[in-house]
Amino acid sequence: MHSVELDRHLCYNCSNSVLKEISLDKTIAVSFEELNIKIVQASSKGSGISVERAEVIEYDELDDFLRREKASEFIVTYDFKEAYHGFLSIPITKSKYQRKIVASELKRITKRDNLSFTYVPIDQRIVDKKKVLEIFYFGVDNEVIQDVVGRFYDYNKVVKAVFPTVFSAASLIQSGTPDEANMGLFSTGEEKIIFFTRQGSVYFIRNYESVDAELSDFDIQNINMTISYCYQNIQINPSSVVLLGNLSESSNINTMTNVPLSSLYKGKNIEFDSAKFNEYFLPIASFFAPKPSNMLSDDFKNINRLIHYMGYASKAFAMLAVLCIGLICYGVMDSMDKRNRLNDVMSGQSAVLMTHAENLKRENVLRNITPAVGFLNRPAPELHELLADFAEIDMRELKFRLLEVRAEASNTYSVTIEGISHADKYFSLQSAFDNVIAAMQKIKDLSVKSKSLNLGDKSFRIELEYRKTG
Amino acid sequence: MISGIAFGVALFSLIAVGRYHSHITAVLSDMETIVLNKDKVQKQIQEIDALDRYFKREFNLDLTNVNMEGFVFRALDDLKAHFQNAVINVNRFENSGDARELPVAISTPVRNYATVLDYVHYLESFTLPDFEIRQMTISRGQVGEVTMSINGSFVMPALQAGAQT
Repeated sequence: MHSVELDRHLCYNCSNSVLKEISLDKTIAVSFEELNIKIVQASSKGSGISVERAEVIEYDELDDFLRREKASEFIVTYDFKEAYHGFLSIPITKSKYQRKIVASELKRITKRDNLSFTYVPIDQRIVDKKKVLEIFYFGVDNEVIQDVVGRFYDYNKVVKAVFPTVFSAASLIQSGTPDEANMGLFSTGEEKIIFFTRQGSVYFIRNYESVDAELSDFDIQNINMTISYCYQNIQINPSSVVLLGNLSESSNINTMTNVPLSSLYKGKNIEFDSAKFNEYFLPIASFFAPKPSNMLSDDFKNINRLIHYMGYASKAFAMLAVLCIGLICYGVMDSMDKRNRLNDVMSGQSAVLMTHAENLKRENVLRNITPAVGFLNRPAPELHELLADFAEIDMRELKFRLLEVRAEASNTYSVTIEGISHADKYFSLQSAFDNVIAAMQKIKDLSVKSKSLNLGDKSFRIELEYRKTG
Repeated sequence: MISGIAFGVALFSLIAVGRYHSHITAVLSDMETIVLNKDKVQKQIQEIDALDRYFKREFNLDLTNVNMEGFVFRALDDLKAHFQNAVINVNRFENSGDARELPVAISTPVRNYATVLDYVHYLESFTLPDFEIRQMTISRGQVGEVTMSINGSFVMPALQAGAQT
């Protein structure tokens, strides 16, 4: 046996990671591992994280931890022992229908109705002259997820995501090129897990019981067998085998893998004690796990969405409450100001009441003044002016016998004049009559309505209208 | 939850404060209007007093205690005194819209046209009560005598009698 110094493989973070969706100041990563639970609290730093707290608790200490922990959001990494994973061929359809087809196929294969799953398209194949899409799926019974996550919700905590250990671990392995695949290997107690990954997506998982906690020749054989199996079935060949966790330390092996071996080291984007990194790599990796790997069931996602919206609503209510308080303050201050002004106005109320009493005393006078003034201001034709104008007319041989004035409509009088002439000649009679008519037509507001001259008895009759126009 | 309750309480308080604010604003506005109107009312009182004095001085009419029929009868007495040789017939008081009327018929001989002008001018010099001429006839008789007949009314506005100060 000889000691092997492995190449370094720096971890990276996936652009599609859950890191973008969470507030690190309030989020804690919890990894349920074979013997204990590992907890990491980190803060966001650039594109990476800075680990602020890391601790290990026993399973029976979880309730106490959740009770005393102030953080409300958690990312969970869980080693699902009973999981369904493998390859599946589905018809080539639009990507939006793929999930439904995969769900239907998984239901048929696993005979389980309530399954939370994730899948990764691998490649298109021709099977029986038909083009199919080969995918890798990973499914877990929702009841298992509910058992794990439910404990958090019992203490009013929110689980933002649940990742299987493999999917968390895979998020740390960086591909050199988009098509480059890597193989990962890590230990969970007595069991070891081999997986294929490309760009943070897991393509194949294999668990096996290990004879040794460290990397051994048995592991190398399993790695080589898995590489051969994957090459035969999904035509993927890893560019390297990355050892994670405790396996990344130097090991004593006699045989070598078919592809280069490397071990995962802490990258610069993770600020943490390098000596402890291997121990806590799973909870740390869960910060970088891709969103599609989240196994949280739709029920919990809906609860989270509801809590999320309630959080917004709570903030909105708080803002509105502050706004209301501001308006209340303004309203109270303005009301007090107006109240003071009202008191000032009310202090002069006695003068107002006295004026009102004085006005009441004159109420009857006021009632009589209006009709009296209106009566005085009404128009009234002045008859004596008309009669005075008549006196100015040169009657010559004509003589009035009757003058009758009769009130008609408002401001209008009808005037009738009858008379006789003492003229000897008709011409003089006609001339005198015309002279009188002409003189009357010159009088203001007077109009001649009719005139008649009887040559037989030399009488005449003139009808006039006197309308005072102002 | 707490923010929701806080918002509810704040909203309720805001509504209460808003209603109180509206109320006090309306009261203040009314009171300010009353104070402003006080000056207007005082000015109006002065105008009323001036008019009251004017009616007392010019027409001997006390608007606070109007004896309308007595006022008309006094004018009728003046009329009778002016028309010495006239036959004057008086009818009952009548109501005509906003006025009270006392129909009067005058029949008087006239010496000349100047007398006619004098009589008509005299009748039209009445203002309160006013004398409205409805019909006037000046006719010459068979022997040359001239008679003037006037049908008219003493008209007074319908003032409220016995108004007390």
